[in-house]
Amino acid sequence: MARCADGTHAARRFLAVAGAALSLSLGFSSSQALAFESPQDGVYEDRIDWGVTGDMSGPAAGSQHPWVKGFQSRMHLVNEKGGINGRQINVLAEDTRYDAPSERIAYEKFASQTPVLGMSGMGNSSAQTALVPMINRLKVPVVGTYTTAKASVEPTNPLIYGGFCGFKQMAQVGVGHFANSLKLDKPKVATVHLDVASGVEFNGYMDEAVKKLGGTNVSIPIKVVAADATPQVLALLDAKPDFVAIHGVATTSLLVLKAMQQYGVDVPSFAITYLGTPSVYQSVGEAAGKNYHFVSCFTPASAASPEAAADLIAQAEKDGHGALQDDINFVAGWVVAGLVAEAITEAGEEPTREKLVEILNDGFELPASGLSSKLVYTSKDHEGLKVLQPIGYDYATKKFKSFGDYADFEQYVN
Amino acid sequence: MLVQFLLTGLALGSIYGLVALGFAVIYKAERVFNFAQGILMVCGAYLAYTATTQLGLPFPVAVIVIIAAAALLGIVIQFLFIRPLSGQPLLPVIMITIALSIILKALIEILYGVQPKPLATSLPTGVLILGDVRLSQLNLTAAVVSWVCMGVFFAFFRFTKAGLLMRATADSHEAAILSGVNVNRINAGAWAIGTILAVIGGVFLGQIQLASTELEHIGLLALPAVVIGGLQSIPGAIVGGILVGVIEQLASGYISPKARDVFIYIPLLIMLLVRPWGLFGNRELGRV
Amino acid sequence: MAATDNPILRVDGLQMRFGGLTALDNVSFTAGEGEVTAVIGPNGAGKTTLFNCITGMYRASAGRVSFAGQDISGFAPHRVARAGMARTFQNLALFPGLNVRDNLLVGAYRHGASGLIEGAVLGPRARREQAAAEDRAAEILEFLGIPELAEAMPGELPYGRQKQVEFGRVLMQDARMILLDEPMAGMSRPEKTLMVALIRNVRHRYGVSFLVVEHDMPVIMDISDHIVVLDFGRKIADGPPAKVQQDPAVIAAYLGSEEAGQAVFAGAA
Repeated sequence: MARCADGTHAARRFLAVAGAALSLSLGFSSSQALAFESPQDGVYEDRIDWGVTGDMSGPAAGSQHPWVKGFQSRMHLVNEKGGINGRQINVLAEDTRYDAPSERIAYEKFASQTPVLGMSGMGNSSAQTALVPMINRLKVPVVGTYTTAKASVEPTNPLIYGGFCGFKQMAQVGVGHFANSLKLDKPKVATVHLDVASGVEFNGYMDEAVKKLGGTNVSIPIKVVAADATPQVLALLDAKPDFVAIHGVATTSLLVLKAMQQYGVDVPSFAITYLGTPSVYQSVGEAAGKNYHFVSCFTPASAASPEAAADLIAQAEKDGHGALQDDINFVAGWVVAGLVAEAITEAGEEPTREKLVEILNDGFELPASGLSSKLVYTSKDHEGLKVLQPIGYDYATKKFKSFGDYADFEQYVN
Repeated sequence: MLVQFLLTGLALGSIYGLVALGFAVIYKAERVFNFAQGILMVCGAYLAYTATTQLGLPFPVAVIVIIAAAALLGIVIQFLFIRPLSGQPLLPVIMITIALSIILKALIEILYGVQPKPLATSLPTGVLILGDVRLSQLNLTAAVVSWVCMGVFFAFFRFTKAGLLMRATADSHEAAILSGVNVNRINAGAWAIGTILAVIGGVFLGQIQLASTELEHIGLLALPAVVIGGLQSIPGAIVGGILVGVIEQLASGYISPKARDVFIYIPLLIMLLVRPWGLFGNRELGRV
Repeated sequence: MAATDNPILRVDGLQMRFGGLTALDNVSFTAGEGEVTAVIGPNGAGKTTLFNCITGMYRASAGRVSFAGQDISGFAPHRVARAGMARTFQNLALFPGLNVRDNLLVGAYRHGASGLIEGAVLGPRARREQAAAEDRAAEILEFLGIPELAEAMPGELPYGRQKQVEFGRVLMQDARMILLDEPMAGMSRPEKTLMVALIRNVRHRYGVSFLVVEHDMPVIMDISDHIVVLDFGRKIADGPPAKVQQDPAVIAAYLGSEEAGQAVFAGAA
């Protein structure tokens, strides 16, 4: 009801302005037509506009592009099944090139120029941090972020909802699992991480998680455009860790793994979710890759049960993304689109931004789907996917393998 | 530790030196400051991906295909973009090479997608252990191949007719024309060589990491290498490349990865201020 | 007249216009095989333009140039050079970074039968050619009297020597005609004498024809077989030195009056 009153009010105000402009302008009829066709929340008679931002051609495109594709594929499936309450979901994807100004422009666009009901993605944590005040002002809900910046969820913001595994939980599950399975009392851990904000943040969470077990963590930074990881591995040799945590991009993690093999550093390692792609495993080779794992709140198609992955595999093939079906980022996009579809459905026949926020903020839950752990939003916690599991790769079958159910690893998360 | 850093730096620096050498050849021939050298190197990694993974060629055949494709690429670039600008001031030509690097990068991403591609060449991957020092066979192969390429390249310049004509043309376009030399063809040859050298570097870097357009940043380390070595100087490019490799290792090993850039670019600044023609350059010719 | 009996160079109705300015106006002449032909005229007469048109640096607005029986009108400069016509400038056209022998070898390599690729990988034919070229370079250095300078860099040599090296490179090109653009400019009297001797020797030994632009009248009168006189882009006289020297139109063109003009040529009489 509130939505209707608002809409009428806005239209009336617009007409008043248009009327005033009439004496000056000859474009009256066209502006008037526009006024009635553009509900401010992106909800139309036959469709709902939904925004997605991601790096599709910049430095993070390798992981974010598949994420956007996964999101779109899932929405194709939703639309093919008749959409939501008779409306098709129209995904407006903006390439923001891992760049804060582009992210800001896209967000403003989604707020009014091509209004959307909500948006997903925003995969640059510094952009997210910088945009929080703007999000609070323009009030387009961000549902399912690709990465979750601290500033977006602490304190809880009713407009922002995480859609990716958090660094804190990655550290907790990785440390908990390895300490447990290697039966370590006071684990000695080394964290190789990029010397950027998120790397330092991850290393901080590693410190916390290791300290809780009475162990020690050594920070070993590496540059994004490194050509070699010899200094890092020499530092590893020095630290003699029980296991290694790796934060980075595909190239740096490869360098680290290959250099570890070269120097005979044969200790288990786990990487952040983003590095769990088949191409990393294939490049690193079996000798160095068999002891390498990643922690994730998403399950690659080949490690999931056939029933859980069937829709994803079929749709990926149909959309020409067959090669991406085992990419963790594609799965992540797919899962977040599912979250969005569910939230829109629950927002009722005439969804608005306000209603969407109400639904999500007021205790929202998606059960574990076989492709991800369970997702929970409460009014105090918008991180969403908090349970992760370690995943490895079987070189013989070229398939990912998980080490249990998400429930088995819940104990490590707090 | 020190020996380890020096040897690793030497191995990596050899690859930088190779790419820098390609840069210097093009610069010497046409006075073109080629900002596309980094992306030409990236092309090498993707050519290797196409030849080995997509076409499934046996490795020796793939090498020939990669080199032939690189030569062709260099010649086409020279013919389409550089030749028409011959005689123009430095700036438009630099802008062309920058535009070229952006276009090539976009083309690669359109053709191959933005996902990095793993290379599956038959280059060795093991480790060589010499006392305390451990060298990756891949790095070692890269270094050896780089040195062989440099050797072949020197012999070519020193002892062959084509090499002499290339040296002559680089020396004086005018005199070369008066001597009946087809300068355009020689310059196309210089681009072919410059591209081949970059591409060989790219195959190795792609194998060490992944075929990805992000390798461009590593390829552009050729720039400080040639400026430190001397723009006009062939040995300078190689020494500059090796210096950059060694500095990189020592700085990241003993200080921090971030320190690398400081220690690579400070010598560059000092060189430009104190000795703009570089370590090996010619004072009169080599000002940047 | 020998020039017309057996011409190596035939210039026919050559015209060159720059915008509204006519730099060459219907210039025709021939140069005889094995002869020294001089082109003279006051400053701005179009001598350098004529050279540029012949060697392909400029594309003539109209007219033809044939050389050794081949129509070379519109050839690019390097093709004119390959046809056997070599040009030297007042400024030396040498390769400062190459030693004297390599400077000469560049001249030889342009007409090899082996292509660039074969030359790059040193095929047997390329190797034979290379050996032959090196022999020839040694022979020419010997002829020039500077065999000991083979390893020297051109920049280390005095101007006269550098000019000799340039000549050597031109000879390596198997040039049938050499165009000399003010060869005596900036030379001392003894250097000029050496240069004249060099031109004579080359002509004698290799049967090369010369086309010379030069301001030093005594030298011109001394070495030329045949003189073409230009003024304001038009040919005003053409003939042996003795005849041209007496031509009133030539004398007038040079100094605006017959008397003053005669003084110019006096030294050469």
